[in-house]
Amino acid sequence: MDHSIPIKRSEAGLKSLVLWGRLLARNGKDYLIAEGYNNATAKGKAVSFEAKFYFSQDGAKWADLPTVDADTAARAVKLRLQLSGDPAFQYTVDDAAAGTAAPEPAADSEDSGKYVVTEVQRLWCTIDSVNNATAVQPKGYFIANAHNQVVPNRLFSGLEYPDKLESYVHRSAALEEGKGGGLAGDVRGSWSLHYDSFKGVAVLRSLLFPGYCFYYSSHDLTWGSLYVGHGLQNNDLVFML
Amino acid sequence: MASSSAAQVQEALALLQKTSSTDGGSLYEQLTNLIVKVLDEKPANPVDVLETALLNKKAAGGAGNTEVVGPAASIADTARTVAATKLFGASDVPIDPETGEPVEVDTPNEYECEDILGDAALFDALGVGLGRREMMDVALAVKKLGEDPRKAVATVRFFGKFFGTHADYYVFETTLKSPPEEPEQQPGEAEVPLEWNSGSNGYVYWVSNYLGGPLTQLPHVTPAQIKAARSLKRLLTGRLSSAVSSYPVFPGNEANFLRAQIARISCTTVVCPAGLFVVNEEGGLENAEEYSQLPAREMGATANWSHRYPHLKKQGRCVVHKREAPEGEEDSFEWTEEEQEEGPEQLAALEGDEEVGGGAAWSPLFSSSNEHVKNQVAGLRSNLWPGAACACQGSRFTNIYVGWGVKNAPFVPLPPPPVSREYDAALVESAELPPKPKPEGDGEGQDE
Repeated sequence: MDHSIPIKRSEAGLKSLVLWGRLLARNGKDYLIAEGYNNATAKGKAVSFEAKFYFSQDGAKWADLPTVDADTAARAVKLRLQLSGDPAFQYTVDDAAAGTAAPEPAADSEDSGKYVVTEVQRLWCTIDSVNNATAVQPKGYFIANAHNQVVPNRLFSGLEYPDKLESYVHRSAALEEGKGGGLAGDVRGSWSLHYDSFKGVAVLRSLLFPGYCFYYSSHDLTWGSLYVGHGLQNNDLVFML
Repeated sequence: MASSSAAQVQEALALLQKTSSTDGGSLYEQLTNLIVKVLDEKPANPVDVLETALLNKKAAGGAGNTEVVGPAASIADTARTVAATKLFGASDVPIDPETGEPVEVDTPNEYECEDILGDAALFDALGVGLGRREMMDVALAVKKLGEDPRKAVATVRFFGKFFGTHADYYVFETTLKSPPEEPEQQPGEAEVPLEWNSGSNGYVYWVSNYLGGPLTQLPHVTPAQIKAARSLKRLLTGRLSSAVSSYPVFPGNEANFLRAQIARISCTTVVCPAGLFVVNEEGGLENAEEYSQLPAREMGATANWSHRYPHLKKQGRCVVHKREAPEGEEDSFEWTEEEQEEGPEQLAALEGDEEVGGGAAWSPLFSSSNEHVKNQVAGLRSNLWPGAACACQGSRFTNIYVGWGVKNAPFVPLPPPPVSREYDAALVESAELPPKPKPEGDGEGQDE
């Protein structure tokens, strides 16, 4: 990947392309996902990173992951099976079409409420759902410049309270001000923060999407995150705490 | 003319004086301060000062320095890192403070363990496990555990790492040189007795929160704890004394819960290449005489691996405990369903494992996506206990578990118990008249 990611980055003309994570597949051919973006714009306080995703099963060749519309995304979320590992695989989702009183059985007609979701679409939906709940950054790292672009803050000098959840924010809310908020606004108990004050390293693990890990080092002011997992939300979290 | 330019000047000044909502002050103020500073200090190259002076001032609100002071290093964290460094190198000889002479240290214990760094390379090739750097610390922690003469272990294996919400657990699996003797069983116990030093308690487990830290021995697991752990889905907190669950009641604290999960995980996911061991007469395992290594790629198939540890029955034991039939009823006495369970035979192939979530219970792992790369490592990862993996290359094989200690099975919380009855008789209105009061001549008048 040392070689293939820079190649893909220059091919796609992106400013930054990093490994996002690894989605485990049932047949062993896991999907490596890379996330790239060019610009991030801020409208008021909302930040949108126009992120493009690429997937690879061998680390050498990266393929585009096209975005998916909201309807298909809503259907894909219902699937609770692990990814199969075959990008051409098709899942059928039962979804009563809006407006029909009784969905007809699938054998009769195609517009009966059974929809097909391909694995590639499901990949995108999985990544999107993980990113919506995670995508953590240290607060104050990104700043909006005069052109309403969100850029790294050159004068970021570290977090004051790296052992508190309030110091970390979701990417989409990176510009929120104020003392509260950040990850502390998430469902209580969905983050596990461990701060080693001697080494100055904070490690955040998500309990809602187990497998998401974020680290922040206060000595060299670096941070990063990675997701390795099935991509399924942990719906039993309330029982597990 | 003059008025319009004056108006323009006023506008310009107003724009410059607009205060920003993020940092205090306005552009006008900052520029003024900067010019004052330059005039005061008269640096050699005022232009070069512009960027750093202005931006530094702005970021810090004009007063303080830009260094952010994080929380001070706590003693506990410092001690943890120091303990990890103590793993390395030769151990320090403690010096008796009174005499100044080195204290006699007991000779280190003799123990056996696997080549942990070699195993780490296998897992690293597959992309699972802890990674080579952490496994270096693990190998040294195993050495420290093995050499401890007070613990007197015979064999040590690194079982794996459990994540917790506040701290993690590193678990080591050992056999003791002199296992404690079984206490006398009390006759007539209603509970199923635990297996002492065999079956689910064949190994003794030690845990620590960080490598180099103090090791705590986990107690033996009882069948009741295993059954209770099966109905729970909990995350570990990292503290062995935490309470586990109030409903369903778990008989024990987190140390017992962790031990129960270890028992379940090890009985399900510790595997060995098929054909490597055979069952000998006493029911134990011994090396098979003829064992031919399969080409590396084929070790990714479940047919080529078999379970190593005995199967954990529903009762919570590996060997089912059947109550003794009372004399005279030996033929007609019926055992419960649990006691009649037979379970798969020892060294059962992994192919027979039930499906998990609509697919196989194990997924293959290969070190290379290309089949023709030589010297590959192949292995399996479990879909039932996410985090359990095994690896094989040539004649070496190994197992590890790195995960949350949570089973990948649909979880249904135990429903509340049925409402208990308060009255023996049903609450039905009685159609009879209330009993007639006794005549007053008895001396105990009743009000009714």
